[in-house]
Amino acid sequence: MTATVLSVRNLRVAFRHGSARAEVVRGLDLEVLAGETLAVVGESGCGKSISALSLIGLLPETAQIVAGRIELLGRSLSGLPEREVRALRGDRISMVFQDPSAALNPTLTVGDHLIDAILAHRAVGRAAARAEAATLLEQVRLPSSARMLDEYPHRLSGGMRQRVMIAMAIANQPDVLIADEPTTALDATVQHEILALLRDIQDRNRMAVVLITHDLGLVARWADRVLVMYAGEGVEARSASAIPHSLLHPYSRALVEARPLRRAERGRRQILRELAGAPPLPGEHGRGCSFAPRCPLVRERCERESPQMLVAADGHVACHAVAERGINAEQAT
Amino acid sequence: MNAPLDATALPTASVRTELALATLEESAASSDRPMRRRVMWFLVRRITQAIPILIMVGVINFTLLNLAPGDFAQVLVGNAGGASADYLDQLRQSFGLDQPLWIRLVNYLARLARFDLGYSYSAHASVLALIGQRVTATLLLTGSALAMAVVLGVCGGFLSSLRPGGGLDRLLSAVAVIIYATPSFLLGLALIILFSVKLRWLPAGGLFDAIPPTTWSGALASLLAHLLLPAVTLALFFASIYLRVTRTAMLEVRGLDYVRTARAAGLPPLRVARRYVLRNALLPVVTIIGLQAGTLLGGAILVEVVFAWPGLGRLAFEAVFQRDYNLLSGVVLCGAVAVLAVNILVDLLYSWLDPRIDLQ
Repeated sequence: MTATVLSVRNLRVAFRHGSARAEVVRGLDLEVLAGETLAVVGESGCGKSISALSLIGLLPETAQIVAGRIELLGRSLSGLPEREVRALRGDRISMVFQDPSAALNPTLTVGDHLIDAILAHRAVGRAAARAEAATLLEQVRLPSSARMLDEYPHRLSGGMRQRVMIAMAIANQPDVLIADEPTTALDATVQHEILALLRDIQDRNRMAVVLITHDLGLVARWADRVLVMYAGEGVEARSASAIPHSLLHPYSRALVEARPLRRAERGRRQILRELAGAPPLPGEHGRGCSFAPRCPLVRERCERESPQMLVAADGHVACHAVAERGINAEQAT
Repeated sequence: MNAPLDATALPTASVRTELALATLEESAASSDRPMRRRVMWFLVRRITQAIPILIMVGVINFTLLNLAPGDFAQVLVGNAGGASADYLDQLRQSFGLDQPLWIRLVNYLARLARFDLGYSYSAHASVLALIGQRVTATLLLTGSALAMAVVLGVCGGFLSSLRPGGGLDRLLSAVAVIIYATPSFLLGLALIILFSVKLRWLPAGGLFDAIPPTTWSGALASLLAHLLLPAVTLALFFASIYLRVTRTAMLEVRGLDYVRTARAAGLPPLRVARRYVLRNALLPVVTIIGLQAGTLLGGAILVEVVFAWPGLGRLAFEAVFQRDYNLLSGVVLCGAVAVLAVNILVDLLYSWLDPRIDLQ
């Protein structure tokens, strides 16, 4: 039995503006096991990144966790003083961000960044930290030379910068790495290399990865499990092998159909099907299912009552239509 | 693309290209010596560029002073209690004031090229020698005022930005606005009344005590005591500007991605603020220092007059009332040189603070 390293129960995050409050994460549940990859997918604005930031305690000042429980390695983060959350951040749980071009301080060298990350959590000397920074460069397959350590970020390519970011994130061998669209800003060949690198490190360090992405193809290839989010809620939590054809929730299926096709797949479906409409704005959710206005399977009950996550196939789905048709609904369509 | 990712096949072609590029650049950058040479070339280039600017300053300077009604001959005659028109003409002839303006301009520029700033008829000494006597006092005043302003302003801005809208922020902002709005001569007088007249803690003016101190340490203590009030007076105005600029820049930088990176790595908040926010927020402060070098000299004139500080500012002030054009234009030219020098230094500082800025 693999241990749970990160578990989130009923997480609610809201932005405040004066007296107005808008919930952007509305009761999220998730669980990450040691060494596995959990992919979180969903269209822009569905609360993926905000959920990720709340996991490492870096929410913007205008946002706050209003309810829920986050447990890292069996320890609850809720109510923990900022100093102790900081001690875990970058040590047991770390994060790689989307755009490596802006994510490194232009006035500090590569070595400065890595040494800072090491010294933030360990009482070693500067020389020892520098030596360790060099081995970190090796781990992300950059030249581990003194010259590379003394290089400034603006002289590196996007791919190299993202490698430095990864080196920073793994500096203290965390148990969980959150990767928020780590390759979106990179070109295709570099994307492939960065993902291979992340996977390699993951295997070596037995590190769990929470991968936040739009790319379902990537999820199918890499992740163990997938969590589909819509309007701040998890709507389907499944094994990644359910992608593309066994996903149950109508929103998950719409995501699959909106995916551009490769030539070999074109026979099956002619056009790229677009999902009409937009998710509800934060704070404007009705009583019922938030996907109801865009759902092809919508029924009267969906407008009245928000669906609960129910066991379905190899995971959970929150959908009245799927529940009514039973667990084997996937075979019917 | 359904094949599993092959991690062992790395580094792939494109990484190798990146690395090859990196080694190519190696010969061009790194190691200290080329850096030193780059700084030297930068200085040579900038000083060469400064020469035409100085010639322009000389021309404008000369033209402006000669546009003013009256000339030095009239001042001399006026001081002597009057003279005949013949004598006035004779005086003009002896000073070369009877020649056409453009010939006098060419003569003036030719003298400048030989570093000859002319003779001060009011002080009966060469202008260069007079400036030499006074320049140290002014450099001491402006230098210490600038240092004080930067330290106060940057620290204040840093503290303000830690909790924007908080009590400390509002207090510091209010103080900064009041100081910014107070004319420096008024502030100087207020400080004199408080610290010299009422409390009798500090001397009201001059460079040293009337009775010259006999020991080195005594001289230094006396100098510092005399320096404190004028330097503070000059510094506070600039500190209030630097405070606002630092605060704004800190708040702007604080929201940038690399600050989030530092926080995600678990760095202590003060270290994040210092190393990731302040360092980058200093860039606009440095820009302002360069832009305001001239204003600082202008402020020094008022402060030197109020505190009887024997510097260039007071020299210029006296030159105006004596209609000593040679002296005045010499001081103005000296100011122009100082402003140009500060701006070259600021550009050097800039490239040191931000490695993206190349000295080329």
